[in-house]
Amino acid sequence: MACQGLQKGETLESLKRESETLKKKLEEERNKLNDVELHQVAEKVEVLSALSIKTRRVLKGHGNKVLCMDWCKDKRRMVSSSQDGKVIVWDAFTLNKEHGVPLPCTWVLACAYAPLRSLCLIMNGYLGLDNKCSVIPLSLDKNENLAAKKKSVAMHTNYVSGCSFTNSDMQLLTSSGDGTCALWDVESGQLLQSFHGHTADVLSLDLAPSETGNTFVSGGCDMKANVWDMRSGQNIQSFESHESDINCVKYYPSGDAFASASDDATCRFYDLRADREVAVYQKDSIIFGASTCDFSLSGRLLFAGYNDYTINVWDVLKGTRATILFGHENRVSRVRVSPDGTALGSASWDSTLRVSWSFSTGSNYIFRFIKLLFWVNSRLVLEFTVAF
Amino acid sequence: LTPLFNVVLIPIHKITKETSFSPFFLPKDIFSPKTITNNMTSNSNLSNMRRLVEQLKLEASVERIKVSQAAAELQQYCLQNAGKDALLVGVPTGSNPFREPRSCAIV
Repeated sequence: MACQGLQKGETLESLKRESETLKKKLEEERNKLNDVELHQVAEKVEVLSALSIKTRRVLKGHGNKVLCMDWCKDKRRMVSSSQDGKVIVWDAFTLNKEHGVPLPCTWVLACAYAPLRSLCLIMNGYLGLDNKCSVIPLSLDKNENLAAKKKSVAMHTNYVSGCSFTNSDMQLLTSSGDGTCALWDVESGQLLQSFHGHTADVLSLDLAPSETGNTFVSGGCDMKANVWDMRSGQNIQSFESHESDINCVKYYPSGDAFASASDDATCRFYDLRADREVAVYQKDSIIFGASTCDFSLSGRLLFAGYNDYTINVWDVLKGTRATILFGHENRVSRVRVSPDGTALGSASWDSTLRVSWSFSTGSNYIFRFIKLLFWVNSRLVLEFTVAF
Repeated sequence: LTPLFNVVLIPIHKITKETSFSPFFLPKDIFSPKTITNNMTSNSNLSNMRRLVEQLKLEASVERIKVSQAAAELQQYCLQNAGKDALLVGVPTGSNPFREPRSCAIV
């Protein structure tokens, strides 16, 4: 065995032992600060009143499983991609399809709208043979051959599982089945930074919400969720408490925490400043893996899509399930809350998208009260006319 | 190499009981081994271990706050923004939330 580069007294064994003791020390340090559970702190918070979130619109048009969807920053348009090779831009108000982009590949794994440019989407490579991430600027001219304007930006050595524009819109962050994440410059296609640390496929990533934030979180098949510094490429924090692949990670709206959805049928909530898991969202009756998750605007609700065709809505603070959304007829592949928090979009393998929102019950009572007044009024009029 | 039909060739060792039921496979189930195979020499194993130890030292030195404080701040953020959360409070019954707003809504 070659022993170059060994420092005095250092062997593989001693390093292994050191790593074990460091891991134990890390656990101890984290446990020291675990003085109370999140749901205990939230005991004084009012229990959520019955949520009236229901599916209000069903968007049909894809011919095959919808793999991914995202909202546009104008809060009204949605883009979705499907196994049939089409990417469709929908108008959620009129339910019209604004664009249909046929792509020369059958697997668009992820798509997202650029934050600043009004219409731009990124698509993913072909089934393992492309491993690229491309940007397509969409235009209102329907006759333009959009597929020809495709521009390859990212290149990995295995499939690209997730992608996101950064806040500045000039850079693209991708995660890949080769176990790395990478930051690319959109114009030149140059690799700016790569992030190594996962020991298996990275399945999902999410950028920190603040404008000045330069961190992101990634989750993968090695059951770990890692937080990275975008500039240095350093892995700042790592969380390993899931028991199976992490399919999706999403930051809490304030940026101080994040949630993850996993094949072990749980969603977990991690606080970044306490550096530990603070809540687990699970139920004995839920045995199918969660493939996607997203927070509502205030962060009180966590929407998670599962492989048993349902969307469970969790009360983040209390750790209980607030409600459950039925309707999809196959696995839910993606849930996304609209940018202003008014509606929830969900995409599924049943080739439909559903948009759900909630009606306030308060105004319901007012309507009913006014109707009652009219009814009483008409009854009184009737009584008096009959009497006379 | 374009498959003419949407058929994916699955390596035999990956065909399990689960794959026979599901007609569609995610890339993570097909394309790569679950762990990055380390076909490097024992020297690299050493450097990997050293890197791991450095990483653990870095993680151990992170500044942490108590869970009670972190939880209190998360809760405060929730409650502060609960009024603006349309999925929590709801939009006026019967209206379409995607319509352009004509006037400010007073909650």
